[in-house]
Amino acid sequence: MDRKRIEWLILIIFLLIDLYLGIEMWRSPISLSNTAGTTTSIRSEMRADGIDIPLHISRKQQSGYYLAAKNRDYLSHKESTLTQVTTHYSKSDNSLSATPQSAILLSGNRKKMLEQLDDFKNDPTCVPYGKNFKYEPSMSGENAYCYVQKTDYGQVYDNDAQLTINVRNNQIIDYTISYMGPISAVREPQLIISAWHAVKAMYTDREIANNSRVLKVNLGYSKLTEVRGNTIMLPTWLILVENKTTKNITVKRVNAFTAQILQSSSYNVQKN
Amino acid sequence: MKLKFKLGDILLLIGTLAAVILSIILWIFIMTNNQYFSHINQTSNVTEQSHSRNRIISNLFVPTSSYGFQNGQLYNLYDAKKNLPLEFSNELKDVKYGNIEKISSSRHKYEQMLNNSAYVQLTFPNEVSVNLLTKKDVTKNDQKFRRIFISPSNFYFYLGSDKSTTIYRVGLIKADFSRLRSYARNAHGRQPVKFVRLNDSYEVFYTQTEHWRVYSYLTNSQPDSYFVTRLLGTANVTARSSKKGWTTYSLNYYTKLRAPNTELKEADFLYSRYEKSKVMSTNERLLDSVEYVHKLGLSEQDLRYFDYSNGSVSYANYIEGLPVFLSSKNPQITTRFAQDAIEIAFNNTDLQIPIPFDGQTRTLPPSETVVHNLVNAGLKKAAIQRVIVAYRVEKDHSHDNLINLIPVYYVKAYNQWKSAAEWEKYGSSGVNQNQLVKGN
Repeated sequence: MDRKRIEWLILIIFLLIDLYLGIEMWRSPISLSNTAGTTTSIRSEMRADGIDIPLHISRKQQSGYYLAAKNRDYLSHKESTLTQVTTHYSKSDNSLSATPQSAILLSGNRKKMLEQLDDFKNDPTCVPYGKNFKYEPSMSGENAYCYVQKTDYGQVYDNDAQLTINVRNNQIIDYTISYMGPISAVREPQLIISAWHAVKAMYTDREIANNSRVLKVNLGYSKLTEVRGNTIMLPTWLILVENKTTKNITVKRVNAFTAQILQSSSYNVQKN
Repeated sequence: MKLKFKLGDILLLIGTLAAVILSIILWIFIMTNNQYFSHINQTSNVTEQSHSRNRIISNLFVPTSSYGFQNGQLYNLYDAKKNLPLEFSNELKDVKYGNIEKISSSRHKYEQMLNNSAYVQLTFPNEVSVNLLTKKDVTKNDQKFRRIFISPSNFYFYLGSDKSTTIYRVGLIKADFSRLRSYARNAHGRQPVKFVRLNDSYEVFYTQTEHWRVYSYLTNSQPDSYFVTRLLGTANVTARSSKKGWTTYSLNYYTKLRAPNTELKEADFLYSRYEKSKVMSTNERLLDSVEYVHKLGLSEQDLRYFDYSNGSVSYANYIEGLPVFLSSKNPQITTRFAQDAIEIAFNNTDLQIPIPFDGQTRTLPPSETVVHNLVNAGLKKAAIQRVIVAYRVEKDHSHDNLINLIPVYYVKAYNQWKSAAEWEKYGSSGVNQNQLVKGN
């Protein structure tokens, strides 16, 4: 009788083992991957990590160029034409700072103030090459109005192609400008990754911290290197990430050709 | 009663034994099934890979040249600001396909079509299949073609096979090529050309002496370890150096990577894996080669499908419409599916950063002069399969890793690519050309 019990016990144990092995075989690893798509799973993974992203991020591939600008001093010889401002040219960082000779007051809401700032920057006696710059709200603060250099191919996001106008008590205090000069395409356009691909690359490379919010994804050009007296730029996705706790905004860049993160190119946006 | 008891005992014993044996069989099956384990690692990546594969196919299989007419003259079109083949690929993304019908197989009609000024033509460097272009199984026969004729109507375009001189008409829904036609009309770069039948395709012959730009690039070369990790993995790899300047890395008897040492300039890496080949269609072979190309981890930004012959598929970097030969005979990657092995020859140089054009040019004679010179040098005219302008690489000593891309004529004969200068030497050296045929 005891022997029979043991036999029953062995039978039951092995049947259970067979059942487990059978389920393991049936539950083929391929079927595990049959999710509703990586997109959904990555979105939900991000949500689980406390990362908020905009509802609509484009998945469409666009085209982009390698751009080049000749490394020259475009600003120092413009000082004599700037009759409405007092200027100081810094040779070390190739930038020009200026203070209005007479007070320039701004009035109205932010939109009206921007229109008046546009008039100021477009006046060649106040700002050199001002018409080549475009207002960039995501990089501007309450008192610092940031403009980036525009080209036929898109905007350039670099310290060497930027105009910052400082305003205090509705009055233009001063500005600093750096200018890269005329920018041209080095080669014909190539296909670039989509905005969604760039966000995904950032997340999988652990470049988006938990508990943060992706505010905006912009396409722009960033400096890559200098060679043979030229600055070479490439298309980059600029991803604005806000820390939900500290409200600090960091701009990170993804190479739009290769989806690689551009190291040491992130910077914080000043909000005051 | 006793007999009944014994029968129950026997059944219990048989059942227990069966359960034990079944367990052993299932356990052995799971443990010995490589696929099961390899899939476990790849689980999270399967969907990702399929997305990425489609993107890679879209990037690699793009037409590389475009042609149009002005005042009855055929021109090779080029525009630095508008990449016409890329524009075509973008416009295809939202298109739906209707019927594909064969219009004609007559060589006369095909040549009429080639010279019809109503069409903008886009060409692949060699034949591809319809399903590869559409990325959908739109046709069972999966016809091959090399040329796309963009008609003035948005409801259809034509596909042309140079080899069989067959024209197919493809119905289109939601297509709009008006922007492409406008780009073609206004393209800045125009070189007068004509189509000449060579062997089994119509080649582009430049009818005038042309000044071609020399472009420069900063390059990047990955070390052996990068490719060993990507192709063989990190475990159980052994390395053996030979006196002839090669290092062979082996994963096992079947999978190897042969890497050239630094003194072997321009030499290609060779990855080989022994496995019995499957019967594959051209389309499947092209798609299979894409997997290997991506596995190498080289830059795919300018990489395009370049050639297909005898089971070998080649990929080249295309710069401003012309392919680059990184080594003397191989553009960048050649995948070869032999009967019992897969071989991938590749160059580890990546064209990384383009340098602005500095005004250097090279003057090349018309294509007919090149063919004439080759025939005079002793190369049989019937052996010449293709004549193209491509770049050869020349090191620029002003900067580390800087190379210049020098435009020269490249010729395919006896299924081998060499520069026209090399073929001239070959022809005049009196080498028996029948040996070249046998060598293939």
